[in-house]
Amino acid sequence: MNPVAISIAAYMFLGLEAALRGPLALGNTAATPSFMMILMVFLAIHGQARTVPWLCMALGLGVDLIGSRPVNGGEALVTIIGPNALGYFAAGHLVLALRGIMLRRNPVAFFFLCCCGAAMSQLVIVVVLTCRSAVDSSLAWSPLAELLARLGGSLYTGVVSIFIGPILHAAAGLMGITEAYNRRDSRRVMRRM
Amino acid sequence: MVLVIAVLFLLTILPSRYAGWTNWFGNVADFVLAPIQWPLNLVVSVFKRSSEGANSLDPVIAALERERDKYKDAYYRTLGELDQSRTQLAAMASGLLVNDELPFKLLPAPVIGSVFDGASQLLRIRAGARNGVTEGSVVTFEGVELLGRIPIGGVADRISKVLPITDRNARPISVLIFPGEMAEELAAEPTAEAKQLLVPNLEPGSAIAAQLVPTGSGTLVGPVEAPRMRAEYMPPRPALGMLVRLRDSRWPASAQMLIVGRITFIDTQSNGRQIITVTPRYVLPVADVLVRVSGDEAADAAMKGGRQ
Repeated sequence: MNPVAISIAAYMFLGLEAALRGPLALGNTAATPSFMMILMVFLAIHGQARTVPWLCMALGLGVDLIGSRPVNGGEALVTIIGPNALGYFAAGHLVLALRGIMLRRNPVAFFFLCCCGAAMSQLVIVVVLTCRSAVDSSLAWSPLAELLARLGGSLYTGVVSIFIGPILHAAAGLMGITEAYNRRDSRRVMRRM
Repeated sequence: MVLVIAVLFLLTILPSRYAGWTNWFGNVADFVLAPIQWPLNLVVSVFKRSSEGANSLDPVIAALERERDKYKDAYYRTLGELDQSRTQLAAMASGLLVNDELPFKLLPAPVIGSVFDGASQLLRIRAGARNGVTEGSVVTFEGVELLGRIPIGGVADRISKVLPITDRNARPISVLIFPGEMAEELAAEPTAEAKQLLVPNLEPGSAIAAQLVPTGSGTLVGPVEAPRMRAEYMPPRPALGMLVRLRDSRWPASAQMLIVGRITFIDTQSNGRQIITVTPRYVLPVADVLVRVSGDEAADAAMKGGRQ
């Protein structure tokens, strides 16, 4: 994998995440697609098993840094570092576990993994932020409503991945992801199992 | 790996009062991301404008309406100041002096993106402490409509974050409705109820007060209070299309009497109490905003900028 190309891709997807999530929200709901999740799933499908968790954590950390949250009834803002990093880490592990039984270039498999990965990360985010709201009441937090909206967003992420997936697969060569690389890494994972 | 996860978990549950330092990292990320976020936001705004193009007015009429809104804003501000002067006179008479009236300047700032995490949608604007923006600065749309304010921790050197009044996490606001002051698009075809109220009654004492709470879906909802009127008059009632203006002591003087939105729905309950739904005329995210910054801070910022 080419770290420079992946950094550039991460920067571009973080820009998309920041600029398009609001406008692409489904009506008045909080269901929005996550572009970073699509990139994360793509990298987790094709990346080396030992680097994927760290890579996912780094991508999640990027999402954490761009998302300030209002606290104390909107009086102040705080950047909460951690929830997305943990969520992406869990999602990365899920994709690693599932990728062995999936056809990596199949768009349906990519859609399914994006939905599952996004749902797993949102589940973790809701759990850790619920823990936070138990410790610190300054953050207005309603776990059930958040979970429902975020699961809706996970499905939406899967739908968006149908359009983004072919672009990512076309750019796989630039990111240093090749078929030979994938086969070699798969054999290594299978040997470990 | 376990240690990193433990640290991340501890950072996640760190109470807000100890987590102020994390905003610095957020500000750095915003700064790094601004070059890619701004063009994308511009493209989104252009798409939105072209999709709304069919319903938009002639540009000349739109410009005239903006001009009219500015004069109306100045008129209502004067009314508000008059009301405040009365309060000050009363305070002076009782030995207290209230003087928080400061001149302000309108600072145009392009919106470079939004922070959308499901629970809230903050706007990022390209104006910061360097331009005189401070925590608590009032942000308007086209200078006459209240959009939001800059919360504590929302100002970086060049970029600021705006919490819109319609955000789920924004606090409730107190507003006034002046009977007869209709939103122009509905004034052309007023409802039967509104026709009775077409003659504007602009005295602050006869206005209808309400407390609005953001719903999180772009609107504000709240019950109206009985107006302060003499008993021989029929109390005015809110009607669809009426404009709603801010009158809240928790907001700075520069935000008073700004338009919050227009009434789009009225729910009359069995006890006769009316719950109004107010919708701002803009749809988030907008392409640019005007920040009301204190004249002194803008001058200080300009001086610092000049030295650099």
